[in-house]
Amino acid sequence: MNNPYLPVKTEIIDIVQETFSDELDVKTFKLRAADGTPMVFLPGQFVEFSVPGIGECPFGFASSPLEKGYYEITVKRTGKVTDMIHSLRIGDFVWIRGPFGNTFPLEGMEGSDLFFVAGGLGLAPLRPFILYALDGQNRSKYGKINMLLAARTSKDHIFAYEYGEWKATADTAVDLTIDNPEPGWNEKVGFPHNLVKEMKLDFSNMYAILCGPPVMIKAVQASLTELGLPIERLYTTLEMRMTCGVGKCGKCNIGKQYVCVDGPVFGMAELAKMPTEY
Amino acid sequence: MSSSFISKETLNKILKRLAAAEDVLLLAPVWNGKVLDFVTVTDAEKIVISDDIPYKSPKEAFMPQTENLMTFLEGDVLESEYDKKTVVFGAKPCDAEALRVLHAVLTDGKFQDPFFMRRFESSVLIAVGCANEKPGCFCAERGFDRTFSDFSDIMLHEDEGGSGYTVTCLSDKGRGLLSGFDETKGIEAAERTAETPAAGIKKLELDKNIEDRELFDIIDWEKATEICQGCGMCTFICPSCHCFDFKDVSGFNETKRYRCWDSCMYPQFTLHASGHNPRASVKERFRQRVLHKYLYINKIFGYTACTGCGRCIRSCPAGMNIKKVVESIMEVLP
Repeated sequence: MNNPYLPVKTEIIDIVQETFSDELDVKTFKLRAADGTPMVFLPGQFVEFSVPGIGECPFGFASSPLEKGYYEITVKRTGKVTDMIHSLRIGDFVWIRGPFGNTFPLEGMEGSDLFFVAGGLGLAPLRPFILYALDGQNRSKYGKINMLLAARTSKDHIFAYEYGEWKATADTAVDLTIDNPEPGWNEKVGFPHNLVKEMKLDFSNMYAILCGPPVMIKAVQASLTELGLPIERLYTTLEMRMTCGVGKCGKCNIGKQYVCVDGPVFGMAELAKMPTEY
Repeated sequence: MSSSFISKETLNKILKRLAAAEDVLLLAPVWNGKVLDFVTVTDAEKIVISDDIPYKSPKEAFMPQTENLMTFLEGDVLESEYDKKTVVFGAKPCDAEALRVLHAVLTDGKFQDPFFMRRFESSVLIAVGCANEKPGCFCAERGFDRTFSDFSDIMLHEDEGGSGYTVTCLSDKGRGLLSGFDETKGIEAAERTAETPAAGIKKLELDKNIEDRELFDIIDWEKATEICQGCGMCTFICPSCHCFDFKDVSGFNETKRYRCWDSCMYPQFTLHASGHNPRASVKERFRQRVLHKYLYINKIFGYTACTGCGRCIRSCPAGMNIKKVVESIMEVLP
């Protein structure tokens, strides 16, 4: 019998420092199974990442599903396991199991405009979808792509080294914002829920995909609803404590749903019916 | 004497053989000086066959409180091995029904739990029907027959004279075990099915069509949980609770990963690394326990994860009573 709890030995093949504010607390880890087996996953899914002796944590995929040679996860240093992960080096081996969870409705959103709104680390689980949609073979399947990427300061935008390439893709706009004005900052300042009102977007055929702190998601959802985007066209991805990843351990249970199996991607219409225990 | 009869003398002989068998673990109720407990038995004389409900259920035979899942050693990971055959003797029908719930949660759907499966497949559950309802029991209200569960492998029912038991085999595992002894070779297992509880007993259950959120404010959960200490005793003693956590224990050059029972009654159960806790108070955690059992699991698997064994009621240090809480929900539902 296939054992879903058994992880696969995996090599860290690169590490990228993502943020440059005082804490330097976000890094991206490029990974590949030690035996070279490719990780086949879809945008929205996640892995369970083990450092034996320290513990195991779930992380959403942060890289393109079209890239077969490696995959990436982006980790913010916040606790025991992530402290340890941040101390790892290129060439170290870790243990990974997955992919787990559901995916964004990639096909269901074809033919529509996409609006990605991300706050801080919330961009990481959206990046696989963004890279998938921006890829040459998929770009024509979607309409205009807008992004509003928020961070606390100008040093906290993750994947900033890629924004130029994203902006250069046809019919794609990337707006950046930070919480407070900074010398030399020429992009937007302020919170996404206020900024979306000034962006003069066409909401007639759009899907919005939100990820960030819960308070940001709720505020942006309220603004977009006010601007006329139906709730059925709003999606997000949830973060929960998840031990098993396969719907058994009970931790990520919200009502009749298990976030690890039925999520982590949820339509806002579905989420509105669920208990708010997330 | 019918051919499905097994005398107490014969049963004792069989239990002795099982206790002595080197390739079989026999789990049975034994008086430990304080409570009747399920333990691994090597001396069959110590087995207590009574109508009393053992303090804990035999859940540990299928999902131990701590279980080594794997070992990380010298750059490799080794799945833990398990080759024991287990016979659980003296379970109650409510325990067998609880195992049905564990089986559904751990093996239905896209992923199967291999550690539960291998224990389940290599075990035989012998249940003994209850003669009487005990204080705190409410299996009849939950719709179960206290004398019978077809999720056991072998069901024993004390005959009226008290000299032995009527045997019913409910699975190939049960038939296999029974046919393995000279003493029981001639036994033709009786055909039986569960009886529905007497009319007039209102079934304790929640309608699957209720929206999850509807029950969040339908009763005063704050008041319902004001005496709860959040100790989690109810979850550890429950035969159908199954939530767990992983824990790593490191030695000099190896790390063992264990699965340990966890409890939705503890704040750490859902605590995020960021400090955010989706179920921050006892009120929310007890509500989760009740609704996970009575509504959510029922919606997903078609079973209520409470079989009315009454253990949580009998052992709660504060006097919480899940039956009364569910009754209070049923009273206010339209």
